[in-house]
Amino acid sequence: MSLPQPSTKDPTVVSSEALMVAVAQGDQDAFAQLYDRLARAVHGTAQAVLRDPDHAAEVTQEVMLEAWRTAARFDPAQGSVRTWIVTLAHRRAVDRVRSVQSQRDRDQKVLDADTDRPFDAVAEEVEETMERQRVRHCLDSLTGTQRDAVLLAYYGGFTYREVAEKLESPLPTVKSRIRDGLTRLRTCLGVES
Amino acid sequence: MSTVEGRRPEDLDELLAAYALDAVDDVERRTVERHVAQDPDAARELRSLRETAAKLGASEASAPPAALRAALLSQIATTPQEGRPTPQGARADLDDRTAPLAAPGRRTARRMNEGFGRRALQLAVAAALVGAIGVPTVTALQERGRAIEAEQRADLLSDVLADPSAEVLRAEVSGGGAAVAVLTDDRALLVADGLEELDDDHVYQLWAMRDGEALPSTLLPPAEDGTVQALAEGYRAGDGLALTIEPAGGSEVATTAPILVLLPG
Repeated sequence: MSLPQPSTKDPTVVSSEALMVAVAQGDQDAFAQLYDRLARAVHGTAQAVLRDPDHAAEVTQEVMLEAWRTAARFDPAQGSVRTWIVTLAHRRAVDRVRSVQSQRDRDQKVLDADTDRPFDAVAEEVEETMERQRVRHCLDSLTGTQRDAVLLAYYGGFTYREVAEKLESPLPTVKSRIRDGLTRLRTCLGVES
Repeated sequence: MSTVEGRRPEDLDELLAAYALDAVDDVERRTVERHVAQDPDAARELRSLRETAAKLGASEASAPPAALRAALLSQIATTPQEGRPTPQGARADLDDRTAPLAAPGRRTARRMNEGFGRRALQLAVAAALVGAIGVPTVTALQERGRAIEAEQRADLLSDVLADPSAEVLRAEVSGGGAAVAVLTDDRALLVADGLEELDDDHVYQLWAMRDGEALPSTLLPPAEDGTVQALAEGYRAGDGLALTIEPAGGSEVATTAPILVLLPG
């Protein structure tokens, strides 16, 4: 789950971590259930970086397949399934964007921030909506330069050196803005550290 | 930056943050990974930074092409997993398979006003809920106050149900209890039964779901006889309703996952 669960517990809900254990043992139904829970987050991450539906779909497929193949390697002590798979999706998307798109193209796409998301009233989960609002609210709490640095890095797929070039800022400044921006987000989003 | 193998990089904290955002090149990537493998504090720090970064990605969630699901499911049927025989091999030995897991609980909203006798159904719902609220059979003096309140709540409910535009939705509350929402053109009334009692530091908060936004709405009052009833402030026709648990005083943005979702048909 992305938003923390409230203190009331629903005993009928199976955790994604439990589903992963089943997937690691070859349970294809469990994989289908994981897909239903996680594919949107995977696809959304890939799309946010790649800004191309075909590439995003391919990365989604690659990542979900890798989750199937390497399920036995998942270690719950390292974090949640959602974090694991979204981290993997981001990494694959960044690798791909660095190899297929020139820097100049990526510049333009990141700066033309996509504020007009098509709203799918029927399929979109309410929890997703709340999570998105929470992230936006927390991004707003960053300074402008922290926010630029974090967003260029995360969604632009740029290295911190490239971010420094784009922002025309000294390298140490950008490094600390990325760090401060991310730790501020961490606190605002209630992530335990 | 460069490091001697094993020496803690001076800018480790900053490198960890950049790494968590995948904003490093391959050489730096390996440096960080090597270091994290031997430094449990760095590993712990990286975990929380990664979780934060993952929330950025997940906040952009969007639907993949519908055909992808079926394509993947047929792909995995023939894709070997690390450390296991091929799927066909595994299936041949039924004793090896784990029992299928129970389907995750889903909070579903069902429209109760489909079919015949919509008005009769509304009255039946009102009667059932009024019964649940506990129109008292005892008339002891000290319970008179509670009785009057219960009747007032029942009156509001009947009033809302009497609206010809009323739509009734029902759903289970995650963690315990059930709720009915009556949505009309200008009001939304939530009646919840059996909600877990919260401590003084927490409150149930309603949200109006509109155009991809969750708008903060009413904080539920404490339950009377296990039932609580509230009109959703700021509600407009077409909105859905959601319920979360928030710190006392409520929140501008939800801080926990919704325990109840009711979306009009």
